[in-house]
Amino acid sequence: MENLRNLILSLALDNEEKIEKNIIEDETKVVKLFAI
Amino acid sequence: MEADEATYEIIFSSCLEKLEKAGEPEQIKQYLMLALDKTLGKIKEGKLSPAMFPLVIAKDLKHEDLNLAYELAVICAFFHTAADLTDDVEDEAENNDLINKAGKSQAINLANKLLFISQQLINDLKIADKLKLYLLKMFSNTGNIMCNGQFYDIALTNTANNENIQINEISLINERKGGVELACFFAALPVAMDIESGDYYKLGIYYGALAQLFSDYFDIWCQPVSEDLLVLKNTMPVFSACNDPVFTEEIKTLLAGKNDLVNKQVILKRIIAKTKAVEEFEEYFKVCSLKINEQLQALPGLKILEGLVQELFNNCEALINTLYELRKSVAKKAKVKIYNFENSISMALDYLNTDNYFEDTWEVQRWGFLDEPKLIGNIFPPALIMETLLDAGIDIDDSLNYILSLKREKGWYYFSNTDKIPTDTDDLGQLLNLVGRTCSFKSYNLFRLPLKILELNLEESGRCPTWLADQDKFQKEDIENTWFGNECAGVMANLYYGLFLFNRERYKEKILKGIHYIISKFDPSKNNWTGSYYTNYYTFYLVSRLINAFKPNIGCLNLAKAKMRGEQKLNGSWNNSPQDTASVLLGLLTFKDIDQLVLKTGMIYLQETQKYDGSWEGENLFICPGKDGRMVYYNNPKVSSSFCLRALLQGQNKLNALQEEKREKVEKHRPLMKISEVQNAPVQLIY
Repeated sequence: MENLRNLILSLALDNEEKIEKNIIEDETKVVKLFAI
Repeated sequence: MEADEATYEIIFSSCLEKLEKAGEPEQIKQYLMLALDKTLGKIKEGKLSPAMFPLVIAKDLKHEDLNLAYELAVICAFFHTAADLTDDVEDEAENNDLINKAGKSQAINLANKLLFISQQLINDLKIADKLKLYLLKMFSNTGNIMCNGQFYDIALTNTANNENIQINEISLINERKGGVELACFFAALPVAMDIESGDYYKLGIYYGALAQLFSDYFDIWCQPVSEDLLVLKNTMPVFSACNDPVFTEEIKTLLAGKNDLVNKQVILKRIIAKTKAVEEFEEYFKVCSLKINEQLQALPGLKILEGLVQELFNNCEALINTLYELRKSVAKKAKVKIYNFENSISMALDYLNTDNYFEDTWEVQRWGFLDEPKLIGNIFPPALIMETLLDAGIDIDDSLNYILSLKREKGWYYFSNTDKIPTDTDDLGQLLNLVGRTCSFKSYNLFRLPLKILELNLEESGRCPTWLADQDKFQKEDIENTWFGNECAGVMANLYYGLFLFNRERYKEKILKGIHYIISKFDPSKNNWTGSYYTNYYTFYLVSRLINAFKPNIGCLNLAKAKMRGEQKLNGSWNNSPQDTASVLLGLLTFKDIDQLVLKTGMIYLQETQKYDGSWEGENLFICPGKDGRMVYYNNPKVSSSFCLRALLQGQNKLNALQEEKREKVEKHRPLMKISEVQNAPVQLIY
């Protein structure tokens, strides 16, 4: 759950330049769910 | 769940085997397996695929023989893939491998095929016929309900005016999509085994709906670029945010234009977290989790399923708590963006303002129309652009004198190098407009004969034909029988507006008759006017500016205004079209009052769709003759851009005027300050 929290906060709070550089490649590593 | 390569291989091979046994052609088989792999690939990545649920329940019920569960998993895979593929076509998804390889038409076709195969596979199951029938009925019913859910999903995407929709209708979409699908997959094995399935079905609905809702929130906050925000899907977070009275204006302003830049998406993530979108999710989660737990109590011993439920609950709680945390962190970070349209206006002016008589906008017919090798329509399109340049305060004397010089004996012809067509009222109206506004008195003489011819053609009813009979070469009856589009509300409105600007006193009575005639042609079934030449949006502009100049507050015009207002999309546009957006804004600006949010979001849309060279895409404006007698549309980027610029110019003036009004009101009610305070007071920018 910590991973989910970190993901949300980093995407919304980190500065815009950093977000563009740190592309989140695979959200499945963070949260296991299926897409409906 | 752990990555399960073995289960993936079994189901994948089984799908392939079914297709081979059915003798599917190789290319079709490859495409179908490509689509199915999107559903099944999740299994080997450790993600939960919807197809897995018959297996999950079989293992929970401790079945030794899993064959039936695997068969049902294959059926669920085909069914889910069909629905998912159709959903990706409808959402114009960019990352679907099958759509990218085979195209949209083929994807729709193959989605249907996947669905039909799932039905055939039910029939092939080694179970009693009555159980096959129950399964077919359940899957069909599920698909039927999912289509309803999808209907509202599509209908509500990019819609702005949701005052009549309640939040529970939005959550109903989730139940009709994710909810019923999982309900069907949960209940499939019990139905096939002829055991009571009702509780499995109910559990599936609540679990599926909650998982769908989690997915909608995840899409916004857990991806650098949310696809739902790109297309403006009205999922619960977006809907709730737009309908939060504290944030409606801010959110709708932000959502206007394009949402593809990471920067903008970051701002949206922050702002939406401040709205009641979070509370709505929390409320829904509380209610849904209670119902899920109730159902689990009715189905004791389903350990794996309980684990999956708990995982979903944990994810939902973590997401909700983090959004509250985000809200606290951004409380002081909010940036108020001041929208400035000056740069867009300046870019567009530079793009438009050329000194070549706008040759790149001329309609040139080279295919032999009217048996002429070359016909040059070099009056009307430039005249439209000149009207915009006048709004910008640009001197148009040279260009105007040029088109006035193209006059032939009877007046101005659409194709200035021939008199094989009659003179027309659209060109005349446009020239009257420009000459009237520039007070080019020296040009007034040029209009003596054309206006005389016009007056001979204006009917007592106020009807103004498009093509003018000159009692010489062109007779009225011949024109009515031969020439296309002799009655058009937009053309009439343009002519009468031109007369209004040229000499409103002299032509007052004629204009009033014209207005009455135009009003009589209002189409109540469409709440608008239908013209022969122009789009309904441009016609709305032409009619509005005429009527509002003379007789404001006409019932049918107010109906048209309300309809137009109601059609604005969440991205600020009308019809996702810059030209149509400009047309509607220009029409709305002719009314006494305009909703500031409607104006601002429309202008933001125009600004964000402007290209790097200052232009907008060319769009169809009026019908013109195509090769070999086909009807085509005149379409030119300079002319379309001139309307977009005109809307920005007039819109900016209106916003400035409203700002000035607001400032005066504030000043009026402010207590008197001492001289020293006045000198030191900061300049307050209110937007």
